[in-house]
Amino acid sequence: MASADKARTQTGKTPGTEERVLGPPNWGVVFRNSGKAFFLMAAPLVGLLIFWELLAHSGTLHPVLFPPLEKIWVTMVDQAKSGILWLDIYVSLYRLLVGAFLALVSGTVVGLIMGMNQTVERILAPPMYFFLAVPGLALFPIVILWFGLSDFTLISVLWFEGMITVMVNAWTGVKTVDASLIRAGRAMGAKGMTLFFQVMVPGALPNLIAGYRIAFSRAWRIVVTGEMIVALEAGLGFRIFAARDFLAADMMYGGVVVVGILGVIVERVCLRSIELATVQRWGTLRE
Amino acid sequence: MAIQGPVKLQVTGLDKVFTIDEGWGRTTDITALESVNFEVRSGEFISLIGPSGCGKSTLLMIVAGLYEKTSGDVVLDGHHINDTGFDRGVVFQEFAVFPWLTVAGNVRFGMRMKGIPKAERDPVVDRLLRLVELEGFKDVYPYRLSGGMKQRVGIARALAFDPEVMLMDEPFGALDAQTRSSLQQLLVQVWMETHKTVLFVTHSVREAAYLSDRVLLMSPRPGRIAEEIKIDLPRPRDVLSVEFLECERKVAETLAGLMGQSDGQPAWVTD
Repeated sequence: MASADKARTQTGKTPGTEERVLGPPNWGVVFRNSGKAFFLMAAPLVGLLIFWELLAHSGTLHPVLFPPLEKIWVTMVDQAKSGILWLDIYVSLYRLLVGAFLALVSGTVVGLIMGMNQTVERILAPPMYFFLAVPGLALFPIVILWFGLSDFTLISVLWFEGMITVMVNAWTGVKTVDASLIRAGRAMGAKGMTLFFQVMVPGALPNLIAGYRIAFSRAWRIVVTGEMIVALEAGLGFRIFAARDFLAADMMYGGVVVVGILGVIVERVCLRSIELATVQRWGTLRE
Repeated sequence: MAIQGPVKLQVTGLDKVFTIDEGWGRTTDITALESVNFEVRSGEFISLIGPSGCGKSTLLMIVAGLYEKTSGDVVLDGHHINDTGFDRGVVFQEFAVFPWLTVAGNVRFGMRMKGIPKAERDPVVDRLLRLVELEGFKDVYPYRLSGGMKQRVGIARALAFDPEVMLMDEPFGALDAQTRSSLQQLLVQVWMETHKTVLFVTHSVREAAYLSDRVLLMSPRPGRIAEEIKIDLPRPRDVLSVEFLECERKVAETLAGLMGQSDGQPAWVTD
């Protein structure tokens, strides 16, 4: 062996292969870091609540329009005790999950096929762009005409709007898979459907998941606003809108807060976990 | 030292014309390769070198079956090549390592496609990762690897389904000088251990002289094989020896001549 080879074995030993020895957890650092993270997260919210409370008690604003926090809290506790709050949450989430599930499945399938087949792409892209420009809410009057004031109406609009969103992202995802990855897949013998499922789909996943996220948040908005239009006797949107008749501002504020909290929870639980299992593990997404 | 094995790969009268769409129904034809002829013997290490835009990568991609040829013939072990196949392993300049698979998963990919049974894959993965010095990185996702390590995965991956020929498209072009020379040495080691036939595209004179049995020099577009230089030095080569420097100089001067620098001073060659 020549000197060059010897030099490489000396300097070229790959770092990280040696055994790493870790001591016990450093609790001081853990507490400090998580405490700091919690403070940064909570501080603006707490600030906002304090500001609201001060304003509500200052006497400059009408107490019916700007009720203090304790009044909102009592109202919501009453709603919870009577079971109405839980019914509303159940009904709204049910509509969201059914609609979003249908949207995710159909949008993914259609979008991926669009990315795979140029003829399908040319046929579907124009209507896709058209309906992307039409707000889902604008469809409600028409769909009510077809199906009446029913859950079916709400979920149809939800499904359609979500599907278009997911479609665009699935399609773009396939279209933007790195050409060198496709070449590598082909060079290693992947063809046709195998190439599609082994290379194109995982390559499209970052975009696909981004699409799911947007679709979920859009779907949640449509559920809540749709419940105001279709007026289905229950649901968070319906409750907020109905509170208008009784000038019950506390119920409106409470409802909006519940809607926001639920939206965040759904997003964090459903979509973050998909992300953690895929794109974040692969390092194609950072948080 | 010169390899006298049977002919492995034969390229005859290969042409490649790209048709560029200029819009409004107009097209332009660009001849990238014009009657390219060469042959590679079994176990030989051949470099293709030439000015950028001469079509050396295009040539390699045609041999890989990733680009279509316009006319001519590529024959590997008696088979006419028009498509990709398990008889060729390709290493890319962009690494093209799949980010959604672990290091081991990447190496397994080609074997899975070829239909090699599960039980036979793991020993191959272990052996190849040891060969490219990545043992211990089996379950790591590629984003945690450096460029040089990614390309070592690329090499292991291309070797995994045991191809007849390795096709390498400027594999070290995107790496820093130190990593490049360490990988060049690793490649020599891998080549001596696996006895693979290698077709290696590069723009670096030193790299071509260090690695190859023969260097094929291509002319500027339309690309042809203009010259051939044999490097008859034992391996591993000492890049500071007089013999090596003479070879390097010969390649550099010939290349400079092809570029139209009549004085033959390869002043532009610094690598």
